[in-house]
Amino acid sequence: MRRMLAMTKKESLQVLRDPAALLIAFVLPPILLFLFGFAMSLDVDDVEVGIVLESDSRQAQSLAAAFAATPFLQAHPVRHRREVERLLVTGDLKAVAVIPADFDSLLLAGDGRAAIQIIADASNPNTANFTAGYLRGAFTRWLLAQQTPGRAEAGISLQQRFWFNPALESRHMLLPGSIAIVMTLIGTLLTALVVSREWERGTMEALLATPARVEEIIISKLLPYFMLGTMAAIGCSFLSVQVMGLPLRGSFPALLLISMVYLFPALGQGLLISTVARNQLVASQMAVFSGFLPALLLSGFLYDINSMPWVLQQLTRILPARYYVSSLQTVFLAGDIWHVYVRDLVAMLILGLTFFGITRLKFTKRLD
Amino acid sequence: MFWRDPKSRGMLLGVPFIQIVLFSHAATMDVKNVDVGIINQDSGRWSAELIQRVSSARFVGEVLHYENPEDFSIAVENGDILLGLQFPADFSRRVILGETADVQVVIDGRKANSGQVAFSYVSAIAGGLDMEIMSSNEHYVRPAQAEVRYWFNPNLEFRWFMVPTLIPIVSMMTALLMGALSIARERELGTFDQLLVSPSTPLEILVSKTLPALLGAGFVGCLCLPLTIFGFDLPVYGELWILVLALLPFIFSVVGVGLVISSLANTQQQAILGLFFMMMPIMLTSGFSTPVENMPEFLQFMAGANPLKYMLVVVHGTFLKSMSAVEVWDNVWPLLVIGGVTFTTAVVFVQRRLQ
Amino acid sequence: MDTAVDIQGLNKSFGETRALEDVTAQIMTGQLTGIVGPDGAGKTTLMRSLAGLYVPDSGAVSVCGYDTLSQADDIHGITGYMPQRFGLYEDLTVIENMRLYADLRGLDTRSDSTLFDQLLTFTALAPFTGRLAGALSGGMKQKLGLACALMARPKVLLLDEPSVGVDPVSRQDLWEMVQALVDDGMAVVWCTAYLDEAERCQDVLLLDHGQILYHGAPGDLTERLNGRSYLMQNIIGNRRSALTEALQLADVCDGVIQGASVRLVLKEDCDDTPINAFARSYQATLVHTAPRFEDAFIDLLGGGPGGLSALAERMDVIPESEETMVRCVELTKKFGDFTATDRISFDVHQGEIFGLLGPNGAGKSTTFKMLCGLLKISSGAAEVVGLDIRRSPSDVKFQLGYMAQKFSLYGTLSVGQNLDFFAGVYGLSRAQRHQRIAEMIEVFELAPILERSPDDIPLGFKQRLALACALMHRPKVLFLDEPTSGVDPITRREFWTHITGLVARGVTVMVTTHFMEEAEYCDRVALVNRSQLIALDTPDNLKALVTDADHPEPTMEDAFIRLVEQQNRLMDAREAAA
Repeated sequence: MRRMLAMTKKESLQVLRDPAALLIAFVLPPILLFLFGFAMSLDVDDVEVGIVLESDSRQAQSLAAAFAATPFLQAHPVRHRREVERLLVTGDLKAVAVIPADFDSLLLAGDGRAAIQIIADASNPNTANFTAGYLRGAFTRWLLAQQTPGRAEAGISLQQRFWFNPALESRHMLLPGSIAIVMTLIGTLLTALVVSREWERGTMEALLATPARVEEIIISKLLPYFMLGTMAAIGCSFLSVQVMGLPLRGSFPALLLISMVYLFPALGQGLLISTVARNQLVASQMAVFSGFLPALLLSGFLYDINSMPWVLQQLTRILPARYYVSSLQTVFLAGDIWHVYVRDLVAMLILGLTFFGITRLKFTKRLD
Repeated sequence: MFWRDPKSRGMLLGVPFIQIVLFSHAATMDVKNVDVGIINQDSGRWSAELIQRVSSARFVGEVLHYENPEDFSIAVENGDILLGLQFPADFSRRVILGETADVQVVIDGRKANSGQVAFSYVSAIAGGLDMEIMSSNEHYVRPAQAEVRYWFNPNLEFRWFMVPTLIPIVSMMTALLMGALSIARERELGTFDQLLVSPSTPLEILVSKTLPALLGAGFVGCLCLPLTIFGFDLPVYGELWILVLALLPFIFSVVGVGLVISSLANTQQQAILGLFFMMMPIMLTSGFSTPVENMPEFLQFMAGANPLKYMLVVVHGTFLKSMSAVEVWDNVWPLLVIGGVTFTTAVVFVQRRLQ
Repeated sequence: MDTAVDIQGLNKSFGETRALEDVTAQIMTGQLTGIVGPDGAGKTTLMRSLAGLYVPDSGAVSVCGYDTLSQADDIHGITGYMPQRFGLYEDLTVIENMRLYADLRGLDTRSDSTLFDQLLTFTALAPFTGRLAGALSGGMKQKLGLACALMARPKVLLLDEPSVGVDPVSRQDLWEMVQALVDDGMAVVWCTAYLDEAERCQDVLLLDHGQILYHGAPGDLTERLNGRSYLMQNIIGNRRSALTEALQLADVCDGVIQGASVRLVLKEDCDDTPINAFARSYQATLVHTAPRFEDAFIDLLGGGPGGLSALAERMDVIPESEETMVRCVELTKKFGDFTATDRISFDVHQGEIFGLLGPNGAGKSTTFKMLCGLLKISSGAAEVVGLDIRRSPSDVKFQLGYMAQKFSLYGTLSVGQNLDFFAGVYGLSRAQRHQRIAEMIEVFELAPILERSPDDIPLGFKQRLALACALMHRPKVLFLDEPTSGVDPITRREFWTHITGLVARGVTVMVTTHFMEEAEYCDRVALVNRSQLIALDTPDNLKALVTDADHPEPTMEDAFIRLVEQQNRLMDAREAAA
């Protein structure tokens, strides 16, 4: 026990004296949270759109005014259709609404013909979809307001209700995921680097020649990073809830529990990498490719797992971050749903045990 | 130097390949295999018809029926279903009477993105049904429509957007890595002193570090071109040679960033962590994952110094939009400025360390 | 005496290479046992096997009765092991490192601080407990390493090359510390490439190619050489060319420079008539001298390398000139408040071998780095080949070659690519480059390893390659920074053969070293201590400075230690007065 305490203390001192580790553990997390919270907004606002007004009728002008008054859109008049292409190619405008010369008569035709044309720059399909949707919505609202004949107030009406995130703020979706990224960086990348550094600098050789047991070496290596990770989880949650306005609908102990359990497979993965690689350069590459990138792309926080090809879906099953993201989203947005927690916790524990099991087999007190 | 080491060579070639496969397949905004939950209190024809149409839609995976609202709520909470439809008892009756018939659509807000897309699919199906029902009424006057045309990507294929961005991203990672490791590696191995006692000036040393990175990353970028075009069946509307030419100033600017990191780092580990520290903001504020216009003002201002931001405009411009050389130039000169500034900074840092 | 370590028929291979072949030996308690041998002999493999870090392929090792295979944990409890690159945590302080190892070995330092205090006094580290290990000098690092390995009073202490990169003063301290431990009854195993150290051991295991060539008291081996070691004194003419010629004599087994004299060893059963005749040709007197362990070592390994340097023969003769090749005037370097080099002045003439000696951290490396243009000069001036370093750094760099301690080769490039790269860095024309590279490959016999990485070629080849890279542009002045640190005597002889040859062709050599045999090769030696130049003279004159009734025949090492200590006392007294 005293041996472990001694090594834990040494490891903690080293973390506190390594500027690079401090950068990753304390400076990167707030920057990441900030970027995910503010920079990565899927909520479209202030899209630059153009209006080509070919008719000078009162109706056409009224519609153009309606476009200009639409929230989220910045309407700019475009003098001629011919200019549209150039403006869309350079990306100055994301979409253009063309109100043709025969707008009035088209409007009155009453056979469902197109009265206006909306041209969207679909090189970014998402933005195009949203922007075209806004423009079309503005047109429909304008039509309703004009009391154009024939529009029945009837039919199937879908009432959408977003549970857990009624205002559809993408920040609420992204922040829990970015906490998972931070924890992966600390748990896997940092751990892989520090342990492989001991091999590289030869300090491991000296450690192996002491009476310290393998389990003691492993646990005492991980304990400080476990604490660091837990601190980061608390810090990130605090920042997200207090500064970025993320709700915490579940309980804080539950949040702490899932975060601590996630550290188990994350640290195990980092340790396994460093034991196999024994070289900082290779270890960092492996940590990025097996830890960071999958946590970013495959954990389900940016991209939907169900929509991925079958092979990748199966791959996500052995990805600890996937379960952590799922539980984090639940604890922040939905509340304590123990069914979800238990499922995720069990999966993370199994993965953690596997990683540690393999590490224990690979890690011997010998050099050959 | 990287080139002659088989391990580094594997890293340089293997990594881009993995990235392309992973990104292009994982990073999709298309929505598939959505599990839908249904609570139907209506026994009439129209709810059954709508459920039938939703069930056979391509984006839907499984359709689960629930008897009572509690089970339904639990299913949403557990994440078993992404989207749920609740039909009230009088749904079909109201449809037949020509009154407004409400359907509650519950969406799991934890996955608001895919939920929104799925909702738009459902609402298109409902709109189609609605239209059919209404046009059976002979007094119905169809209102005027807005015709939407999606230029450059008529079918809104997300891959057309995603895959071209991988070319600059992959060459950027290569260039950053080669730049960041260059000096730090020599410093750690002790060969840097050997270079410094030779007649080479810091400027010459840095140029000699830039050129291989430029070639290496350029090669990787060019390798990605056929891979993306043929592997993913991408259209090329613009001129590829413009893209290839623009790639060089882009890589130059990125190598500059890498060299700055390298000139500050003492060890390879520090260089790698420093690189990581720089790469995240560059990726996130480039418009790769979310549009630059959506960011707050001052972040947009900061993104002005982000080389990837300019290159993404160029790559989409040349792949999908047939952007002209003049328009590309507008996005290339900032890259040269960024490269010039970072490169000079690196030279100054290396010289300073000679104290 | 008890057996501390029992090695029975130990075999260990790594792939194709057999690192240890059928090694059988006993190591006794209360004795200092030296493990010596050339590079690649299997010394480190043996040490790691003793520490229980390697599993034997066959055979067995037991330490104090515990088997390394089945009872490794027990062994770790009773042995102290200091690896070659000692595993100190550079970002922990001295006391933190010590506490860590104390706790790891189950030592309660709170209730029993006597051992701790003892170790601190013993290692003289007490004033530096708060300093980060990374900021310690090489000698202090090794002392700290020893202190950590000594925690919990091990029965067996395993030291793997503890004195590499350590200055003579610190080395003497280390020796005294280890000797005290042995006197207490500890079994100490000291692995080294330096043979003067082996001479001081009670028992020596001499390894070559994984096999034991000799096991016994060093004196017994040395005795075999009685009557075969000679000293050629009062040489008229160049002592270096005398050595070169002597080594070509059929009867000479080995030879080195020793100050103004040349030390020669005759082959077994050879008559001394031919060398007597040879000595007369230099009007020198040939006297018998006591053999050293090193003489016996070289003899046992089949003699040293020849005296001719194929390299030197190819080098163009640099025309003699009266010009001063390296000149320092009041050279000073300040890092903040700390003065690393304080007004050092000296001149080096063409064809001279000039040694820069001093304890770790004394300022010799700083001086060296300023002369190579690796550090900016704070004040004073330095000229190389008549060019001011500050005014024309690039021109200066064309004139100098630099070979660093770590050999600074690119591990990711092949040997041939390394040559090509360095030829390119110095801007040689294509034709010149081809010609020079071909030449280097021929003289250094690099052809068979051309495609391999410098990381996995033998140390001797590495050294040749590093020298080849530094000489590609035919520099007039060659800077050598601890060129043979940790290198075995045979490789070292080969290296000096080349250097001697180069000097004969007019190249000027500047060298720093902790190794006093190397200092003997120098024409003049500058001794730097506490940032100041404290002595500048020929090796023999320096030795004469410290000769007195108690020390009739001081070695270079004695001279070094005494001169440094004299100045330290003087400075301390001055500080105390102020």
